[in-house]
Amino acid sequence: MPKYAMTIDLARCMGCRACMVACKVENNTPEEQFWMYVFRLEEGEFPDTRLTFLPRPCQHCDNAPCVKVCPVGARYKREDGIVLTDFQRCIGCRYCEVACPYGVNYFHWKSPKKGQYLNWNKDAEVKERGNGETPPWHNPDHDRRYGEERRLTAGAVHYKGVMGKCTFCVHRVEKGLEPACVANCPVRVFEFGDLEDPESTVSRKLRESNRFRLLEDVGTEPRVFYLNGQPPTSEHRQLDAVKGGKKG
Amino acid sequence: MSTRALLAASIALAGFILGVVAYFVLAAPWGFPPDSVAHSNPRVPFAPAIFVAGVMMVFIAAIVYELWPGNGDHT
Amino acid sequence: MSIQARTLRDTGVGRWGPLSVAAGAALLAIVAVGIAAYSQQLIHGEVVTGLRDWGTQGGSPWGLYIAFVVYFIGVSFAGISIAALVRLLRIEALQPITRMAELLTIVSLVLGAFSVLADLGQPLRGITNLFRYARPQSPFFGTFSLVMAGYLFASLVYFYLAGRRDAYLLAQEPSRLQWFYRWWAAGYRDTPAQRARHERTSFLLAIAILPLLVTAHSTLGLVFGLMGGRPGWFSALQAPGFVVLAGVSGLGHIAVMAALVRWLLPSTREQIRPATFRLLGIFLMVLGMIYLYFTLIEVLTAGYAGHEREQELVALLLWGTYAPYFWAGTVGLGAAVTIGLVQGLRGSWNIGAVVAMGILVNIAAIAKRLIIVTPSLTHGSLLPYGHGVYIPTWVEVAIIVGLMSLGALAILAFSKLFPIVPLESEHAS
Repeated sequence: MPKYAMTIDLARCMGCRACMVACKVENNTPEEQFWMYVFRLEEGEFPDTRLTFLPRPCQHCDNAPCVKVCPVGARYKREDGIVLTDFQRCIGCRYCEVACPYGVNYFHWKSPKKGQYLNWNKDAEVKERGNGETPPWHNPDHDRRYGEERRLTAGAVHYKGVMGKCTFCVHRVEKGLEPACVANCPVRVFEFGDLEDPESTVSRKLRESNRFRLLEDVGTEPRVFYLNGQPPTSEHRQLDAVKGGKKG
Repeated sequence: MSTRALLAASIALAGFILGVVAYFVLAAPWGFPPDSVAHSNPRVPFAPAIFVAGVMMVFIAAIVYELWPGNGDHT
Repeated sequence: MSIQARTLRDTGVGRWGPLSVAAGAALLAIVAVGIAAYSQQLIHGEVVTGLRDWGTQGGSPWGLYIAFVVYFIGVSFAGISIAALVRLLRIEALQPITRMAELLTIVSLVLGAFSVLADLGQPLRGITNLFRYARPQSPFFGTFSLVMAGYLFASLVYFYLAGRRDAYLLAQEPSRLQWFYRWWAAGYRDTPAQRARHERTSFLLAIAILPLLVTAHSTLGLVFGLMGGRPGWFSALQAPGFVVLAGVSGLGHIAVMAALVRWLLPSTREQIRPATFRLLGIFLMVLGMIYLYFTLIEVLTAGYAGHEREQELVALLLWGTYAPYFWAGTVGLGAAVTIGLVQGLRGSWNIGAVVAMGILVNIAAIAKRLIIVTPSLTHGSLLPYGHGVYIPTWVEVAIIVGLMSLGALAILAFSKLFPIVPLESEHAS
């Protein structure tokens, strides 16, 4: 049984956010949902400021608080380590969201078919080509059930009133592909692979580099390792933090 | 002990035991950290409903005790 | 007119005067607005609320609904504690208010359940999936099973058994509801043997329900207290604090209810005496002092040695964004305790003063529930996200106010079907 993990090389990351776009296209996440997110952080005072970038997917923790608190077992951890949400079992209580210290959970406050970036029904040709579907192309892999447990876990466009988050692109991993963020990064910041295999890229990178995990002292045991960098501190500020209070 | 007392006590005890069994054995397996699919499913379907039924039985015993027809009901 | 019919008339049963009709109609109208608001939420999703994801979306995923889940379940504390105090400690002065206290427990637990359903993104699924899949490892399990199924059911059983005697008395006279009273009495004839049996059962029930009560409120506190990654929530004092504030808000509610009943039904003035309010006032004062002590300890601990985020949250509570709510809660409780102390030192308890205490502690409790839920979500992030903002919309307010009106309506309707104050003292021969 593989033990999946991800490494993120902070020395390489330039904050281009191609991974965020790739994730969004691969999973069809609606507006304001960023299953992959990249912090653009600044520290210091002008003229001695420094910029660092910190990609933040779901950490797929070994001691995941979200799995512990889910009242109905919709949020669960597979044997290979991937933490997934069963969209059919989720009752939308958002307990996983408040329990997660990393802020990786995104709730469907409205139907995921609304809140798409384009109004797919406005353009007649698009509407005709896409058979009136929103969005016009729906990845059939999102509707398949994966793993021995055969639960509906991939993609974002299912129901309103349920929780979604990064799935390590389980629908791609099951086919032997890499997650979308890993495959699309122009400078190969991400590596994804099996910790049980000592010759896998992740295992080699973990041996070679100094590394840390986010919020280690909270005890969540994440499966995402950050290489060649420093954890964010309270000295870091976001360059483009969301100002709260917007209506969806 | 009268029939009513015996019956009520049995129902209460059975309910309590059912609740304990449902909580520790029938529901999702106890194991920390929750590192596999097994931790997200009850061992027996509807185990929580069984737990609730067990708790309710303990209190139904009170109704049985008071409402069971028997001596002293008529002056 | 027979003594029974006169007594029945005095209790207000079956009497819908202009005041009752007006009140009932107004409450029904508010409930209708609440239902309209909820249907908007069902159609469009919870985007119609002011709730949003914390972190990159800058909102708060839990807000008014969850705050009132905690508040309603807290208020339910009153019923069984009063019943238990009467049974276990033989406090006779509280006996006449046991029925309205138990009724309050039942109604507020139902309101709590509805608040949970209002918060769920998939409410119907919530009901079916909880019974099918609920995990005991989740703190929510206690809220769902022990509070709703256990505590609510136990209170219903207690309420039913305690009402049988009055049902039997009422069933003697022909009336439109005679069939209802006969059903409720279920063969009760007030014989010495039956009375003795009821004493025993009530005693045992009270003993059985008390641990359920403490567990239920503790698990609700643990929903917040076990969140290791949430500054402001992760604290050993959450569970005990919930139990104490529950007692405060519940008893406060009872004080107001008892005064209302006493005012609207003059025949109850012999039973609901100043001594009743004196006891309520004393308990309110003591529990209020304990909660203020908890507040002080929490603020001190977090402020002295809490890590950075916790210290920021304390600052927010004391003089930042959330200060109005924190001080409304603390000053409200402090004022209530002070009123109590003054009454106690004077040696006589004014009913109006105890009612004022009851109103103050409930406003304080609501403010406290709000600042338990939201600040940690908007400002308690361990990663460098921006902070969030939460402003409830009309939908949330309408649903909560609608639920409160539903509760008031239920109590009003019940008081027209069955005496809200027991007909005669249960120990009268």
